[in-house]
Amino acid sequence: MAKRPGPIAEENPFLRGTDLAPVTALSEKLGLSPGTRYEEQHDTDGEDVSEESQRSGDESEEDEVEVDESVQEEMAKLEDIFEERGLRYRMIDRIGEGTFSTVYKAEDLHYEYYQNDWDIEPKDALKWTSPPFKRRRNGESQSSTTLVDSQSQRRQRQPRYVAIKKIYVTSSPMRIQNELELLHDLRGCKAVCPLITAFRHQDQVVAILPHFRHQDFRMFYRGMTVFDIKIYFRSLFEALAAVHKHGIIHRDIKPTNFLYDIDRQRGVLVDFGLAEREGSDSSHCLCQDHPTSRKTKIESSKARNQPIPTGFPKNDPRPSRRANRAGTRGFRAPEVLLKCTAQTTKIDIWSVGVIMLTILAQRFPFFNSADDIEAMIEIATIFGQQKMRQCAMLHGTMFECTIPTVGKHGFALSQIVHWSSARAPDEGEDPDPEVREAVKFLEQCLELDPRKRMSARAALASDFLAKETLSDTEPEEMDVL
Amino acid sequence: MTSRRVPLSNVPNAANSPFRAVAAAASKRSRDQLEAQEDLSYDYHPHPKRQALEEARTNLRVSPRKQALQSAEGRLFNRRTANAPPTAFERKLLAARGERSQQRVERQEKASNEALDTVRQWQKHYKKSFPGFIFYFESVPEDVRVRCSRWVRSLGAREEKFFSKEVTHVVTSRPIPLDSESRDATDLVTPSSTSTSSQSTAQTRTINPSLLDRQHESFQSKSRFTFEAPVSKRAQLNGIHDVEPRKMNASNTDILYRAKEMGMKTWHMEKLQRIMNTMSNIPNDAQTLAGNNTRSRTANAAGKMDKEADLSRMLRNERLNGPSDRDATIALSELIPFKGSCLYIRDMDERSKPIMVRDYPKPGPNEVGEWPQFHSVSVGKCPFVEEPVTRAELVAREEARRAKERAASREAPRTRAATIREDAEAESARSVPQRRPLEEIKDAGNAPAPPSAAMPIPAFCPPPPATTARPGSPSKAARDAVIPPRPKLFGGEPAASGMQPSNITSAIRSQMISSTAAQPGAKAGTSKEVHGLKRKVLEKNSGPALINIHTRQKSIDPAGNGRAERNIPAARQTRRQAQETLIHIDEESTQSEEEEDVWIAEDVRSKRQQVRKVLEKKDPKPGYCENCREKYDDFDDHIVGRKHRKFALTPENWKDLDQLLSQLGRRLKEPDSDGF
Repeated sequence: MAKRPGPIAEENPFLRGTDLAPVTALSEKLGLSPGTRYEEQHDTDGEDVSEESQRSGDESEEDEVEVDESVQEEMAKLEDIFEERGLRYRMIDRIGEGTFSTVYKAEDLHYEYYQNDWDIEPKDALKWTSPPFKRRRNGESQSSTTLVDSQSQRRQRQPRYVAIKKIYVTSSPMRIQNELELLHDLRGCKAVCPLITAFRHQDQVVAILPHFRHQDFRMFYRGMTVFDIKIYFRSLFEALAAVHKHGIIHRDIKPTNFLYDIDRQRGVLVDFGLAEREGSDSSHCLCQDHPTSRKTKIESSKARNQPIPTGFPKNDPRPSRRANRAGTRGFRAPEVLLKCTAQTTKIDIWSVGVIMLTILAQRFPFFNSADDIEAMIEIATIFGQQKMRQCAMLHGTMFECTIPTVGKHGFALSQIVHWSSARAPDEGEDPDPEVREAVKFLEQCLELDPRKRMSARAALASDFLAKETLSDTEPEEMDVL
Repeated sequence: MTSRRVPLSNVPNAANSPFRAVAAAASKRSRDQLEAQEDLSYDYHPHPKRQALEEARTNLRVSPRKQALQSAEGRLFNRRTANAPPTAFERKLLAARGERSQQRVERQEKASNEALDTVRQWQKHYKKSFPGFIFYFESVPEDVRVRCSRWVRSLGAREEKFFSKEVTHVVTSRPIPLDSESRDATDLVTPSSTSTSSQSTAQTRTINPSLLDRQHESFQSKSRFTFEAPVSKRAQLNGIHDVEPRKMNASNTDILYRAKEMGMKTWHMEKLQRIMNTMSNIPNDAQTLAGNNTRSRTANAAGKMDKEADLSRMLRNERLNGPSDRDATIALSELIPFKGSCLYIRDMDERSKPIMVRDYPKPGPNEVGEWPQFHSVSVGKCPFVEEPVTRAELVAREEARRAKERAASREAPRTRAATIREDAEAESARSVPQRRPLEEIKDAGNAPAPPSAAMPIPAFCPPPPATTARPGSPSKAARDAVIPPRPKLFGGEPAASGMQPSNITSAIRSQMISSTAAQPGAKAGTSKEVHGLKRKVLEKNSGPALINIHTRQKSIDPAGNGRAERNIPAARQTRRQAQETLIHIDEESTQSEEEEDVWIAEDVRSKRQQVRKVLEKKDPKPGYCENCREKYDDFDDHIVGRKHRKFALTPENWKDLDQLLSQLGRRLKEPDSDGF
């Protein structure tokens, strides 16, 4: 009971865009409607339910039905808009909801009329379906109907699905423009979800994106081998390398924003709603200084020469430090938490590190981080006082912590990975050299100092990702390019 | 006043009363006091006077600034009039002298080995000589005495309950009289007035904190001779007063004089505390590393350790010596002291507000702190969130205990003494909670595995964090904790997703649902998250109907007649209203169903559910509109509002975006490229 993600998801300010997509994907996968899924849960709870079962059962149904009804209404409204503009999309379902937008799955009824360079599906279909189709390599220029027909084995009615992102009318044009502009800049990056089109109807802006087949991260992250991990992160880092090359910080890297398809071993990065250009709105931070000048500044700083505080000011008239903190809890880099005013693309790398830690530690989410302070404590629990102090000083802040569970040295990531695997003692002692390599790679992602943290390009060039994965993905790349 | 005459010496305002200066400083005597005096016989007369006196004293103990601020801290101190704790001035001096010099010393330690050695030597010396000491505590508050005596005993010394010849050290909180005084004491009526004679000597000796007080006393006693004690002026001059009411012991009967005479050492309470501090502060280091040849390395290590320990020591000092915000080095007006375990991240240059501040309350002896920490959890769970314990009673017990504790702490008077005691308790308990997560897991491991559990799942098992994790221990811990096969899936879905409110134990969950009333969590002390969650559950479950009602009422009855209704127990109201709306909307929805298009046709749900659906649709979605720059209560209402529509229909607002959108059009296929 009470495991309905719905209400909580709605409360979570950081769930945007495709956040809810997994739920739908999951239910699709399980062949159940969400409603039935919830009902099933009550059975697992056994006796606990008894007298309440009926009531709570009703409630969850009620939740679902309510969603359906209102969603239908919303979708009908959207369809009206489409109709007015002569567009034809058949709305299917809501697949995600966030602070700034709702995403629906829809069928692109006029697919055939348009140039669809964005669509990787036919190419993929050619590649992944049985060899006979291979000869239709130039499917793009062929008659679409033939192509569609030829794929009928794959999907039953050859519908072309798109994701329709309805950006709330309460979002400012600036914000919308920012997102669309960045997406437009990134067109052509195969690992970034392309923008098919976007239009405005009065204050309603709608973006049409491809619907990318993917699985819920929670469904697969635990079964991943080191090889799977390599493929996954290769794909993710390819996307990031492209994004970072454009000087864009995604700011919200997390599993739900990287739609990954295990079968195709490919993922696309979505949701650039929080993305920004590197250096926009940034000011000088101590971390940009040369280490020696930074050192002298730290040593001559006011706080450094004061006794360690025994309290904090009650009525503090000073202004608070301002910095962009956009992102998702648990995935924020330490410099974001410390309100560094000169954040770089490296904050995305940290988030990737968190994903990797999640996979290696088989714990999702790895960080709970109800707020920034708890996030900081969680990070400090791993890295320990000493490193945190250094990390804080890097951004001109003093870190004091008397929390007993935050040790002086923290724990090595390898240790954490080791505990979590908690392989039966017989296996446990000597971890896989591959795992060790992965942990080494992880350490470079979860480096507290953003300057020392690996870049996406460096990650792709690293031994961990470059070696065997390349041979595997190369033909695919060729194919796409 | 009555006509009954009070002896002159006992009338506080009499010109020649020894207490005149003091009494003058006191606020006007209250009516109660006057009445009390009326009723009292001569025998009791000294009493109200003393009362007045003490009030004066307490008023004076706090610095004017403090007084003005009327901080809670200040009030705490005021309450403690009984056994004359160190006065504000003493504390200030100590804080200034003792603390600062101590810190300085320790700062320098990092640089110079000699300094460290001196401290070690000093420690050694005291360690050796302590077992021979026999303490007698005089004028020391009971709780402090108990604590000190415990500590003293731990070093091998002994406490004598009664003053006797055996005693080697007298510890007092009163100012220690000088040798010269003890000689003169017999001649003078009150000890305080003796200080005039010792003033000159006092200035040369700076070690004894009581001397510093003495200077002011002498100043004061001087003024006393002029009969016109301009209290306000003195207040301006000194800021802080020390007007200890001397016990009216006729000179040499005072234990302090006696002790002097008998060759005992007299320590001020502060001195003992300082010794305690220093003795325990470079702990073990001195002993373990004493024989180390590589001196410099040890010194460095010790220095570093000091740095680490600084904060905790400061906290302890604060507890002993009072807040150090009187320290001139801290320019900021007032500090909220840290009481438990804290995280404090501040701007290095102090130009901006602290970036992060949080003070977690000290966990009880069997509690884990509220801050995030590693827990052993099964696969798929967040390691920073304690996994729900399957046995409901375990949780219930825990919750009940916590609730009780909370209630107790709310009731408990926040005297300083109480705080100290609590702190001491918490400190002694500090080592315990850290080990606890594991213990609990072991415990949980014994719980019967739910039948639905598929197969044994390895648990995430960090070592007890405080034991600074040797690589050996975790694996052992791991083995211990692997056992419990836990349900990893809830309804075919891993329980820990980003959206899971993970702190909720199953017990709490069931409580939330089972309680029909609107206070599911209120029965147990719940954490912040749980509290927040409880609210959400409410909003989503019982909420919508309720809110719906409110909005309805608003529309029907804007005059606020519905307020009376609001007082009806929420649950009952909901039920009643829901029934009404049920009937009403039922028709609507069925009608619409007939008219509606494909979507509804697909829908094969029961009519009753349809009703609920419509009901909840009206659930208002509050938020913020970036365009109107205002908060709204309901999204749907807002976006059709005049202001918003105006924005929507003003082309200038969309100029830039449109320019971009014009580039984003979907390109039609070339007519010749395919068959269309």
